[in-house]
Amino acid sequence: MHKRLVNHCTIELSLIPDGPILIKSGKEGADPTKPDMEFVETYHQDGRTIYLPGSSLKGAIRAHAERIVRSIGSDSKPTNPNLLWANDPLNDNYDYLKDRKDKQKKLSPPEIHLHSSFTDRLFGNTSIASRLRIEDAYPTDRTQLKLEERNGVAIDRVFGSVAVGPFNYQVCTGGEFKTKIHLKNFTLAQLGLIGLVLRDLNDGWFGLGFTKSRGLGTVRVQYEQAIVQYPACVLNSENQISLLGHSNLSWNHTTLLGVGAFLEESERDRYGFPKDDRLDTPVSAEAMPLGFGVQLTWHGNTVTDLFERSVKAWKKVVMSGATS
Amino acid sequence: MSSNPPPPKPSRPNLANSSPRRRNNSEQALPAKPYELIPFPKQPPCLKRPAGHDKYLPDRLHGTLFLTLTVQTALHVSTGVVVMGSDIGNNRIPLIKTMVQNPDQKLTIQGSSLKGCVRSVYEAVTRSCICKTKAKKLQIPDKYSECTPEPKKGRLDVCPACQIFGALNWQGLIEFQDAVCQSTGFATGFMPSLYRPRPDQRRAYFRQGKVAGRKFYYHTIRAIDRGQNQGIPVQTAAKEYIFTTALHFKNLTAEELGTLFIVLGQDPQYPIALKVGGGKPIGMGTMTVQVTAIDCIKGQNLRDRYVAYQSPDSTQLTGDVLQQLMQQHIQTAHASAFVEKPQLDALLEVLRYPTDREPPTGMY
Repeated sequence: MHKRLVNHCTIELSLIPDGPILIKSGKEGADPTKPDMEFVETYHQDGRTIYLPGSSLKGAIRAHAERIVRSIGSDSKPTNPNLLWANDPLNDNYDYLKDRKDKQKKLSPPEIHLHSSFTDRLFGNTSIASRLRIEDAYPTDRTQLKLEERNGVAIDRVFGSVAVGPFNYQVCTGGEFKTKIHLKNFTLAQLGLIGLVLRDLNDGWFGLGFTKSRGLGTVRVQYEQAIVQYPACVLNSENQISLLGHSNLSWNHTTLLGVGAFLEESERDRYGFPKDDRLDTPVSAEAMPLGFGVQLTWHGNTVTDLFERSVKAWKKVVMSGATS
Repeated sequence: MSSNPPPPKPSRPNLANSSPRRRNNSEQALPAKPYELIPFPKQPPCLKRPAGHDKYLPDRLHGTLFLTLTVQTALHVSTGVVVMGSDIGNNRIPLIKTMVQNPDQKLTIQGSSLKGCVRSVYEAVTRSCICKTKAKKLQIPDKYSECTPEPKKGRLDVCPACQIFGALNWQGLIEFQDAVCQSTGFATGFMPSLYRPRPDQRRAYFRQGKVAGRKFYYHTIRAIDRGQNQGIPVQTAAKEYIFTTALHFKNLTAEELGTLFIVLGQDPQYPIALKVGGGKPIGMGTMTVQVTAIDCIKGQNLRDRYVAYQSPDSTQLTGDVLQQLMQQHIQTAHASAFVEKPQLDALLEVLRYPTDREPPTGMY
């Protein structure tokens, strides 16, 4: 459901290398002083710098989100479309998104959403756009970056000498990369899952980039802030969040709202969004600039509070799958 | 700063030009080698489909091992870079081979060095392929050549070591991190010039035209420091330096984890130590391992971890409970015949620590 925008969340975070990391550029540059395997580089703020591409981040986040869903949900399509499952996007032929009688014809957009897996609804597939957008992570201060060269050899198991190598690669061991994750029209369970994935990234349960199995890729996640916006809402005279044009829809000013809360029952059911997708928070809403829209802001470490709450919504989805 | 300079070439008996008869004589005249070749198991590698990464399987183990590594004989894991002594704060040394140091100037053992060391022992005690060697194809025992899974063609069966440490085209289940020294600072040691293995002249590497086994160096009571004139100063971690690291794993079976504990020297019946980094022939690189804690989840605990944001702390085990868990997994590994006993026994004789073996003197 991308035809209108009901809620939007921006999570600003920093990724801090906890040990060496390397996102390999794939190509060997012409600079002979550089190692064989180089970090990806781009121009940013009037200078050349290494960075973490959004695609590398999204891939890692998506893969881990799928891993979580498959572990506690299902890895194949269940008969009930509301149950938790994740597909294998690389080997899925998406037959279930085509008309049963005419395979050339796609289902209607709400049906595509309904029949797509939980992770596809969040990260997108060839039929629906992603709800999640992540920016490239650029260093906050280029001068703080620490780049090193590392060497590796494979030791011959029989002779004890060098079997392969030496090969050398560039790693970043210090600095801070800032990025933003945007989620639009999200359900609270989706936000909860992202929270769990970022928690695991911080705990070292998965890494980023090259050579994850031998020391590279672990990062610490530091939250700057999270903003949840309801662009079609205003704060009314009773300090309640109310949906423009729907005088009967209003919520307390400290309510965290998922996409399902904004929709009429018929539309919500067509897409398969959860009912009553809302939670109370300690953060109170304030008006967005220009007088339209309402936003809730979590600063610094209180972002974990947002995730802690939304994981409760996620738990509800998991548990409903367990009981049926 | 210069990279990989040619080592100084001292004079050495030129075996290459000697007749076969003389070569045998000179080989006999030399002292015993500081290594052994551990023969391969009688049966070929048992190939199986690896568990993969797509999900945490409910009946398998996932988590983190927290390790403390104690240096027993001087340790040098080379960066491959030689610098002037003044670059690392020692003006009296003209040139020195460096170790990796983290941004806090603490000595670091690269995750790759640890992984290689642990993997090679794991390969030796299970029915696993010879994954890295320059030996010719015909010299490799039947079915022991490197696993080459091709996921796109549906060919995924690999040997026990490749299942958990990974193979080309297939990611492993264990992730090593850099081991970081607890204290700042370093020692300077000396590495005499060491020589290439010369498999063309030393017949012991082969038996009936096939490679005889996997090479492992003995532990010794100390490393020789100044036995030779020719060599180069090296940055080292001296005895009693302590490194800590964490080892993350997923989808391991009990016997795989048990075998890993055996390899890390946690089985009282098989007190073995790791041999890490450079200077193995002269006694360097002995490290003992202590597993300080384990964060291990399975089944319902896994579900609990993924329905709450604050992960329950109770999954971390230490002390006696940890020891019991390790011994239980070790017993499972022994009972399941996953570990090849003859190979483990042979390896124990080489990697046993403590030891009373003296380092080799002179040219071996």
